[in-house]
Amino acid sequence: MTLFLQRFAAYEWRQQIMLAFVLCAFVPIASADESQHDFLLFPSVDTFDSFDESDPVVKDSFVRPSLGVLYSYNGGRFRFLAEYLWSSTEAELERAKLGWQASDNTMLWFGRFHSTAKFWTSEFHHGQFMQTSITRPSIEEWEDESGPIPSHITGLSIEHTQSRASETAWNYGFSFGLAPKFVKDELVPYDMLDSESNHGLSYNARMAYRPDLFGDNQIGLLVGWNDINVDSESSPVLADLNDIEQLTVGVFADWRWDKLRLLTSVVQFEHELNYSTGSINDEFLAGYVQLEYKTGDDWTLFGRVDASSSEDTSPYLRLLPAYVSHRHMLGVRWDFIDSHSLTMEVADTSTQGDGFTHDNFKEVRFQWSGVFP
Amino acid sequence: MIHRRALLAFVILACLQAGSVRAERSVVLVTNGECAMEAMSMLDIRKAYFGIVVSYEGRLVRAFRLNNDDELSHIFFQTVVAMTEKSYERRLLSMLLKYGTPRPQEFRDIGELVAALRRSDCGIAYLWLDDVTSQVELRIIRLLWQSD
Repeated sequence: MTLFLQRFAAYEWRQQIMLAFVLCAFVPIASADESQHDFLLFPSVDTFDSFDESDPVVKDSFVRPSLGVLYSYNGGRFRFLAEYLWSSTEAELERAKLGWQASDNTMLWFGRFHSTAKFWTSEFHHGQFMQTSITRPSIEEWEDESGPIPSHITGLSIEHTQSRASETAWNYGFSFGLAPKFVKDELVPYDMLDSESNHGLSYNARMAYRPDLFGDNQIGLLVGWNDINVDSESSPVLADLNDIEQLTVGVFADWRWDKLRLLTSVVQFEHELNYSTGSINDEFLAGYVQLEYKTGDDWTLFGRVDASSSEDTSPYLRLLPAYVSHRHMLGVRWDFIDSHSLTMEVADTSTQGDGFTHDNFKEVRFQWSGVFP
Repeated sequence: MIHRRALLAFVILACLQAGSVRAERSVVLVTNGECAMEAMSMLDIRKAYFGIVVSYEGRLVRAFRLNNDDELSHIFFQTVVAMTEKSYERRLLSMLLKYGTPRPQEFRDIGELVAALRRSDCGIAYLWLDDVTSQVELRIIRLLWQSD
């Protein structure tokens, strides 16, 4: 025990917190009479090819296998959830959080989680099989895919559900924690094992109405405020930029009418870019509308429009050259053997680009995805 | 001839009677004998089978499923969760992915299910009434379905 404490004291404080966090996750295993482990695998293989590019340097093609692993432990009123993603381009602990069921309707979480103020992200996470389309909407992209809103927050979150006898429900979510930093040309989330911190704070809230507590239909509001510190030395473009204050206010809906499904979210962005020499204000509107139509038990036709307004002149988006400012996409998905799907998408896409004009290209994607067990 | 017709009518009536006895089946919700829960609303039953937290006097209610009987499963999907098996499974997957919500434990053997119920604080399961009468450790808390 003494040896353990000596070794524990030798760690830096962030590593101590991380270790304590992992140890805490196993406390309920020892104390709970009833416990349950759940384990899910989300494998997928994506292929991508671009054509008809406005600039030859935009040309790209790849094959990307990936595997998402989800682990959940429930013991008494404690819960632990972890999600890890391996792919040919990255390996990252996406979520790791310890939860306590404060009451039948309220859950407290501590750890690393996906932002409460991003609808698609907090709905599908890295479960590729669970989302119909291959691509994510541009405002819902992960940080390393030029997503403009922080996705990974490390801190505390609260979820509360108020259900009624009529089986309607209101969901409330609030979180605060450490926001990502801006490094080179992307946001970089807080790394729980990284001793270099200097991350700003993030506050996020979400409110949703469900006409059926047990159904998928929901409509709601999203609000986020992020203080994004900038690594000014990581890129000449970021010189003298100290931090970015970001406010996002949005609405979302996920609604089904028989065979038709609508997924949409529209977000108003407001930024203050604080340079050593002064501040620049920036605002734009961005969103998406995805429609899905089930033609049978196993086939789904879908399409999505990603669009932005006033994004051309946005100083914030100019820092994210790969941000997809416009995409018109059509696709078809075939579900087979219960837990497998094959999907194809074609799209006309514009990215923000380095200068004042967008880069354009067409793209075609194929994907196999599944879930086990 | 009259005797033969009377005998035939008797046999048919007997068969119908026997059929009606078989058809008068019921599905009930049970808990273990040590759980003091007297009744449970359909809303709370549905919540429990979707993994949503339901507690009784501070004890978490855990839902268990017996999936070795197609007719019983059919009644469960129709009466309790009110959706198709595919939609139900997809909803459970979604809640596990989002919140780490545990899925109801499934058993193919009634003996194992009863043992799990006995071990649980306040576990619930749906069973044929015929199967419950032989299990003294179980207590019926609600009638879920009855044949016409």
